[in-house]
Amino acid sequence: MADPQNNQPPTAAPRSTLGPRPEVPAVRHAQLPADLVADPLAALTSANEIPVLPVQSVSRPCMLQQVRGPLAPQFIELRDADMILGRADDVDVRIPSSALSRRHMRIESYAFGHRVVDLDSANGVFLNEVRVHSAVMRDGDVLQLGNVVLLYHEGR
Amino acid sequence: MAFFVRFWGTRGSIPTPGRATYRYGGNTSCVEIRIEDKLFICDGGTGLRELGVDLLRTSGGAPIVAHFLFSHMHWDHIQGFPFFAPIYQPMNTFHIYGSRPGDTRFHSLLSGQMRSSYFPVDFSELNANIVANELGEDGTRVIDGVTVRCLEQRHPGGSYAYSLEKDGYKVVYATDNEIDLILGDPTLPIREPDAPRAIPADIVDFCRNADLLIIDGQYTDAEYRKYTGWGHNRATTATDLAIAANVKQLAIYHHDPMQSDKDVEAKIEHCRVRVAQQGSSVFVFPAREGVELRIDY
Ligand SMILES: [Zn+2]
Ligand SMILES: [Zn+2]
Repeated sequence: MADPQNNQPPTAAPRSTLGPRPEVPAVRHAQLPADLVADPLAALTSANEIPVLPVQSVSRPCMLQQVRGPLAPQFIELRDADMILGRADDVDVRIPSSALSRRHMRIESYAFGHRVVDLDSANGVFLNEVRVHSAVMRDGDVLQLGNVVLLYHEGR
Repeated sequence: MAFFVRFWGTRGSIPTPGRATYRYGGNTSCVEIRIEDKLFICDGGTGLRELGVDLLRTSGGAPIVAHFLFSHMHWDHIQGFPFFAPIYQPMNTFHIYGSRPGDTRFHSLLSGQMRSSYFPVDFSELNANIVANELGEDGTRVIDGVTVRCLEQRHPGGSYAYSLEKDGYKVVYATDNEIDLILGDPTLPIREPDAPRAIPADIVDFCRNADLLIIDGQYTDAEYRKYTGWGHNRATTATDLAIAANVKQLAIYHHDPMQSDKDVEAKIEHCRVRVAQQGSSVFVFPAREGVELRIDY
């Protein structure tokens, strides 16, 4: 429990000062993107000068990878908005397969990913072999809609 | 007419967030069953919190009415209740069913977990109308046109299974039971692990011809040796029940907190081999958080 009279963290070391810290290797380069590592650190003459670099997050959109059916192979980038997949002309993701319904499945943008919903299609939506009405997608999931097979890749 | 069945929590015993349980989920027991516009909620584990968020989002401010069918009052089946946001809105009504007339244990135990030592808001301060309701003398009642039955199960402290039927469709929710303790020939699974097990007739009858059986299949055979008497089925015994009762789809539920996604998949594979060995067509799959099934295919 916090003691209101004494809320100093015990023996807190000052953070982020760039003073001498000889024994501790401060930055591990191996997992940083190349452009972060190359320039600012290349000219260092001593460990005392190592700056703390700003972190750039690398983002990547969610994707459906179509591996079977007409138009395969292809990648379908998922937007942060609802999309309809089917064989009709006016849908967001059109795949010309007679095994698909005109409006077969809705792909909803969800807090941290996507959810798919079967739109009363004739041949259904199978998630990893289970016929589902709707499902929150997980990286590596396999969707089958008629003869169309899609892999889900989560973005970040 | 269709039943929509959505899993909000599929884990047994304790929530298990993290990468190991990413696919099948870490929230504890909660299943939404929607039949036309009637809403049934089986158990109120931590998955119930997200169901509450979804109900508020989809109801658009209209009153929410739901029928709660609790298997029992162990933590992993009630912990989401105080975090179920619709109970704080005065226009909503929630029925908490007891197994027979006069059985208000679940209603009073639910209020117990909200006493001030455990939770900052008292049960009496909930704004929604929370009704202590009950099934009939024989454990059966027609609720909003849906026939609901209960069956007492073998579990420390007791628990109930429920079946919901309408227009020829049937879904059974049967979690936290240890059929393995009451098998007809209890040593058969040790002597002949692959032989079909003798499930008590009342359980088979209760599940007979279900379109979907959602059942406690917490343990693999190897795990069960260590946890006999803890109140949960071997997944393989749940499979034998589904085969004997001519169930169409079997959702193995209440996954053990120690099981990773890979472990759950291995457990299901074992059940599928068993189905094939017995020449059955039962479809076995792992209950997974965030998945919704439609029962009328
Ligand atoms: Zn439980
Ligand atoms: Zn229990």
